[in-house]
Amino acid sequence: MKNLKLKVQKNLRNVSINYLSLVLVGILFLLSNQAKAFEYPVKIKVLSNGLKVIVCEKPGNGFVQSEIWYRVGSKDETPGNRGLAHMFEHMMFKGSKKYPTSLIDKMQDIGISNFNAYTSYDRTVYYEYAPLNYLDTVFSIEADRMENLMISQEMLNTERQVVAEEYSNGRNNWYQKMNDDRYKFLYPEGHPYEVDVIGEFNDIVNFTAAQCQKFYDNFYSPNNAFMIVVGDVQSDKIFELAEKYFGPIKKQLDIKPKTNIPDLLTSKVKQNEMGIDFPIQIYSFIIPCPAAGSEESKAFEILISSLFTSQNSILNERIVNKERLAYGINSAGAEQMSYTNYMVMDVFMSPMPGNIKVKKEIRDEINKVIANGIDQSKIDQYVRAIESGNLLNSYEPNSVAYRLGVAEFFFHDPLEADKDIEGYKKVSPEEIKVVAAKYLSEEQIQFINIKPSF
Amino acid sequence: MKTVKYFFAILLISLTFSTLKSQTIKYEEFKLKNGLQVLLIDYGNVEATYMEILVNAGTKNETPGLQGISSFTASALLYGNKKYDKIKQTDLLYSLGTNLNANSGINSSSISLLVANKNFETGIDIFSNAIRYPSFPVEDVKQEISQFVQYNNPKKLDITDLATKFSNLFVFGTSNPLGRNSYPTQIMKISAKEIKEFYDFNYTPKNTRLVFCGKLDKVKIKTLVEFYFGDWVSVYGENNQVNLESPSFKGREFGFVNRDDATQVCLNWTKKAPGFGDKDMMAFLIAQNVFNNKLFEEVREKLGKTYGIGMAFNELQNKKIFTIGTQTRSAEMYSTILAVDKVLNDFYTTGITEKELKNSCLKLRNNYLSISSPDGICNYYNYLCYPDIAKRMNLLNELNSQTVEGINKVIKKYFSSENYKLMIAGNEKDLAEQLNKLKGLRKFEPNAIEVDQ
Repeated sequence: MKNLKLKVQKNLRNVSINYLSLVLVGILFLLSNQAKAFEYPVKIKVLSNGLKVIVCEKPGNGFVQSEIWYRVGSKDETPGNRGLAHMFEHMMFKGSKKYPTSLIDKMQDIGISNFNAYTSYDRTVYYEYAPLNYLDTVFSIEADRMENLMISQEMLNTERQVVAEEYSNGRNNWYQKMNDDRYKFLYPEGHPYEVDVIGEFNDIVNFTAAQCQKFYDNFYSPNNAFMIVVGDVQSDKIFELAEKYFGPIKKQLDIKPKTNIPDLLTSKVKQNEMGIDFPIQIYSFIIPCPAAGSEESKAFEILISSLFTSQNSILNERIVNKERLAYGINSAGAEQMSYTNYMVMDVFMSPMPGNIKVKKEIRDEINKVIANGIDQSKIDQYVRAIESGNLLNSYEPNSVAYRLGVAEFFFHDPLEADKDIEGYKKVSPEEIKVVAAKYLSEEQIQFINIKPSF
Repeated sequence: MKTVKYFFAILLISLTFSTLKSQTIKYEEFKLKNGLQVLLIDYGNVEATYMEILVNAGTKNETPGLQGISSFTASALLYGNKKYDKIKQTDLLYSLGTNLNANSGINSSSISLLVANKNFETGIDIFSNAIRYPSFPVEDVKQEISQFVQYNNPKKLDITDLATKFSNLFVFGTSNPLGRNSYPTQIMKISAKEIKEFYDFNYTPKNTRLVFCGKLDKVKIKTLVEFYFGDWVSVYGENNQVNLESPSFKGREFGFVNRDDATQVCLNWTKKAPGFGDKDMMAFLIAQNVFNNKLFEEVREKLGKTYGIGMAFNELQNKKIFTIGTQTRSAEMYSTILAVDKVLNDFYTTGITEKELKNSCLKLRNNYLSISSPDGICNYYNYLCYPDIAKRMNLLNELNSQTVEGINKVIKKYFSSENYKLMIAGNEKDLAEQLNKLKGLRKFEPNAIEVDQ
């Protein structure tokens, strides 16, 4: 195929938006000058094109964590382009109008080695950890690839192979393979999380530049993103820099939240047994979870931690440490998400006939929580653990950026990160009882028995 | 969190410089009467303290039949002790929002804890009791070993692990502890008693270093260190030194191990590298940096043969080898070998340029300076390997003194495409034709690693 370079000209897209842009030009929302997020000042400014810039002035070693969070992930894919969000993340390193060769080379040339990106169900995040004096270049690169990415079929053809290899890597690991295979049984058709982030192999190896271009046009815009900068910085200077590089980028149509999401409380997994090519047995408990930021989410988090996931959880103590019936309990997919979703609790055991006892004991413990809730002391312990954990995670600028990012992503307010603790403190044992009855009843928790098949 | 990471598997396996830094630090050293050396490093403004004990014991200290014991011993320190049983310890640590961590590698092992200063007394009590008075409960040891055996079934290892294990054997041989692999029937023979003996022999005041890093209350720390570690004495004496033979490389040697159901092939090259303290080390590290970029650019970005490729070298392990690892589709095995040969050969022939030297030094310098956690600082100032802290702080100057000529000499010494051992793990049915092209290919039976000596 001929070298087809579709140079992106975002300033020509969606011309109708320009009127709105004109109205908004010059209106900058300096939302706050609120201090004391993580003990450091956090300042926020929204550019006229909708890009929110969040700055945390954290004194340190002269290095700065800079991140751009796009509100696009695998949830935004449709049949035929499964895996495109992740594929596109790869394409974002292939060059832009101002930086036509690999952006990896450009970063390396200026001595930045700590840069990367990740794609999840809900979002795609690009980040750099660089000396303060490189920030100008970092902003220039990020702005150019937001506005002027170059997408060619030739580049895509090579990258499709790379991503296909990434997909195949997972198939060589028994646990990853099991996770991939099981994921297909979980969600009902039409749910935003119906297909896992890596996508479908046949789609991946057939992606076209036109598909990528359309995806870019739809989702990569300043009003569908926000920026976080943490480190030895002065917010005024960062706002100036953001205005200089990102300010001229045109706003695009807003992405509307999804509606008519299939109800997971009434949905059934497609299969309750599966084989695995490994000498281990896994009981998978499929638990519906409320969306992040919902009224129940704080109580649900404490419930799941106390019952399943924390190192001293009720089930870890009984099943793993005291009775030694299982090797361990692992949660797959346990993260805050935009829509109702499934959390999977895997209980790992040596394959043997008596394992059914484990299932019964887990159900007993869940029923106890539904009947009696959990002690206030467990809630207090959870709060103390979160408080200390937050302090211990505050060394690294990327940890601070992550907390701010999650708060902005789900609550549209980065300072919500500081209010977490107060929210947890308000949760009562009674509330946990109610949430347990709603999400952990026998009707709600589904089960997949995964056994060796050789 | 479910994420799909982008390309920089290359960085993940290039560990040496990932957390390095050469800032000027304020530190203080002292030694207890029993010989335990203690280092205190002032770092950061967070009201917290990181504590770590480094033990001069790892795979290198494992005797035949006891493969894996250094790792089991480090883990077993977390199973409880005279004062805190496992459940009580877990409960307390959870309340403190932290974890007690155990690690074990080729050269050394470590136990560490990061704790908020308001919880320092509880933290050091848990930490010291875990190190000084482990109870090695028989049932916990059994469970850990049983779990390990279950998860490390040689017939079900993924091809990366398979290639690594067989590569160890291929490169070092069974007379060297680094060439002996653990396997189920051998592991099952390790008991709590053997772990206790390994602990008694290696975890001694003179064979360990204790480090504190963070916003320190030094007076309190000194008092508590004396209280918890002052009466520590060695059971067996104080000599666990070992000297390992360096592997030799003569021409291109190929090894293969079959995995019937593999969907890809794993390629694992091993080549000679400088040892710990070698004068070539800094030049070699710069060369590694440039070489990694070339591998990534040529094999992945231009040819699309793989998702991840990288050269791995860890100075602190002192294995005197480096490896290049990648996975690719079976049909591309031979062409990938040729592609890596070409990168090696081009690098050997042309060396590096002034620009590459400059960029590489800049990148390494930034890696040194960007460290932002106390565990990163302690990893860099590894007190066991670098007892001279002042010298270690001078590393940036050493970086500044490197020249293109000097580095190209080191490249000639280590980066020839003519000398390596390449271990291949994949599906023989898919690879048969391509394997025939490899002269002198040595095929390993799947049970070949089940040898103690």
